[in-house]
Amino acid sequence: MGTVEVQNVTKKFGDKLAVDNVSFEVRDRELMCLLGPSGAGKSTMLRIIAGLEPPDEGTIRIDGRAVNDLPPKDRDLAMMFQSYALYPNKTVYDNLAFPLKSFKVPKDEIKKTVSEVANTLGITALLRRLPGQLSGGERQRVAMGRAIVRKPKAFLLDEPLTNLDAKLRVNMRAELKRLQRELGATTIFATPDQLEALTMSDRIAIMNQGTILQDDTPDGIYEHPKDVFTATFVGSPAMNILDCEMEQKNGKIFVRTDAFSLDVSKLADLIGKGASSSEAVLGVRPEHVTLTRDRAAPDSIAAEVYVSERTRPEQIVHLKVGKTMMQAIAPLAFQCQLGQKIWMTIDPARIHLFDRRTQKAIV
Amino acid sequence: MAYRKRSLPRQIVLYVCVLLILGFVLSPYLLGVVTSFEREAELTSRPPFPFKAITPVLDNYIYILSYEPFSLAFIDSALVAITTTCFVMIAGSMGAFAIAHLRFRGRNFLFNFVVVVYMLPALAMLIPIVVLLKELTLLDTILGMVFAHSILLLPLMTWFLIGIYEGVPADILEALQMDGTSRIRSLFREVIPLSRFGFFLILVFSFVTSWNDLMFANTVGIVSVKLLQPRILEFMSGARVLFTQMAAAGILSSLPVVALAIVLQKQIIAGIMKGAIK
Repeated sequence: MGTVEVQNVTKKFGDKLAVDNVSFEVRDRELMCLLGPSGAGKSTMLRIIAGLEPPDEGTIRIDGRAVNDLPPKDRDLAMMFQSYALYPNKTVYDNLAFPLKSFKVPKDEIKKTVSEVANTLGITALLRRLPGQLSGGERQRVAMGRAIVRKPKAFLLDEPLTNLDAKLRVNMRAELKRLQRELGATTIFATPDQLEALTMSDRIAIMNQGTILQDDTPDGIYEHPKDVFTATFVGSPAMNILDCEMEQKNGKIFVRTDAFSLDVSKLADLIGKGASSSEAVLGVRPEHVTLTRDRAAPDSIAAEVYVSERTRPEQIVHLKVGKTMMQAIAPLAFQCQLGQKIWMTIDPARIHLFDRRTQKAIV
Repeated sequence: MAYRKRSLPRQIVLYVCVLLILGFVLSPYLLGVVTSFEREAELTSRPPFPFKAITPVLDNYIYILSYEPFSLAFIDSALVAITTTCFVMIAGSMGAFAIAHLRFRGRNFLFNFVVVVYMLPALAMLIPIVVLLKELTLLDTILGMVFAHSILLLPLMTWFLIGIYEGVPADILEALQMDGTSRIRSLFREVIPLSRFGFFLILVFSFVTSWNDLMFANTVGIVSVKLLQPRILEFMSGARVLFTQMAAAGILSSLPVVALAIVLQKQIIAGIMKGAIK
């Protein structure tokens, strides 16, 4: 296994900047996720690392060695495509054996490796079938197998779970993670699904419009998003985002939105460093909003229940606060009716503040 | 298409229609077959319609088969058609694969160029080709004939093959690239087998076009290379037309094509059904 380094890579398609000065590093045995909406440049990034697409600028290093001039086959990487790209006219066995054959591995060794891999993935019974005779999940395993057989320095997975149905996707998420740990395989995988990224990766790079906005652990991304895009893209239900003004009164600092004011004096030190103007964006995760029937604290805010989604094991309560809509997560036991007046309390220590102009985090 | 059970009247209507179309399309050929078994004297003494019971004779076939220039023309034609087809399929496949799947400067220009060349009337290319072949001293040779037919066929067949190879997903080609397969190997070992139905359709199309060509064969071949179609035309030279012998020669010359169509029937139909030719 090995490391992958991406240094200042830029790629244009015509006038469109697909990847814009991107740098990151994947350590040995690490599972790194490129997370972003479609069109963010994730696939292009993977294809540049694989060598299927030459970068306009920048360097790719594998195990410390620049590989820009090497063709895909000499980079010792395996790629798994979103469509799986199994060879439709070859049996599962031949699909798995193919990468070994073209690298001139001796026949009996091919046999041994393929049966090992098939065993690991539980597809031994399918070896004689053609890809057309397999279910989606089975195809996904075969594609995985074809990547594993060569024991490459790193795996590149392009949306490996996107084409599976919802239930299978959840199972495969866990299995893929387990497999990656067992193989100790350096892996870069691209996905538009924040849940996959949060649950599977050691590290997440948030991509949007060709750039990496934040490169951090899943906890780091979730707890300390560096900008509004990351804050809203990661987490479900999404973070509540409200425009607000920051003002000082009687030596205290308040965050004032259209609907309420919040005393954030506790965060004074942090705000002082980061704030460049009083125009800000307030971010509150739904799980940090506490709902009560009666006013629980002096700084509780009056709200009206718009609708409640009992997703189980919790419920997502949509609230009308003044003119703005917010979401909160509440236990199922919290009974509420449409239109009911209730109170919500926001823990000032758990809020996020962003500069409205730059969209960057203040706190 | 799933098979549906049709009611009897609908089935009858369907078959009547099919028979009518078949009759319309095949009647000239059938008339040719009938004529080829007739005596010249018998044929000229009556109009072709209405049919009259004939006493079939093999005279015409015996004559044609023992007529040496015909056999030689048959062999030459086969040589030209097979060589042309091989060349067109190999060169056309490589060109089509490049245009369909590789990204390079001038790709769109090349594609448009192929289309434009195909749209030129063959007659407009005839004179330049003849002049060119004369300069190369290839006029009236088998090789020159293959050249002429290849020039005629290559743009059209390349154009068809582009559409066919575009049907192979780009992901698969990239997977092949990752797995260390060269482009040329990808083309011949993976892309062509994956698009074999369309490939065979174009192959048959190329062979038939070359085999049936009269115009180029008549111009590029003069004395030493006389292909089949010009040779058959000779039965019509001067004032006399030898209908029955000509019919027999025509039927004989159609046999390789019919045989090819029967052998590759499955592939050809699948190729057409898959929309290999757009």
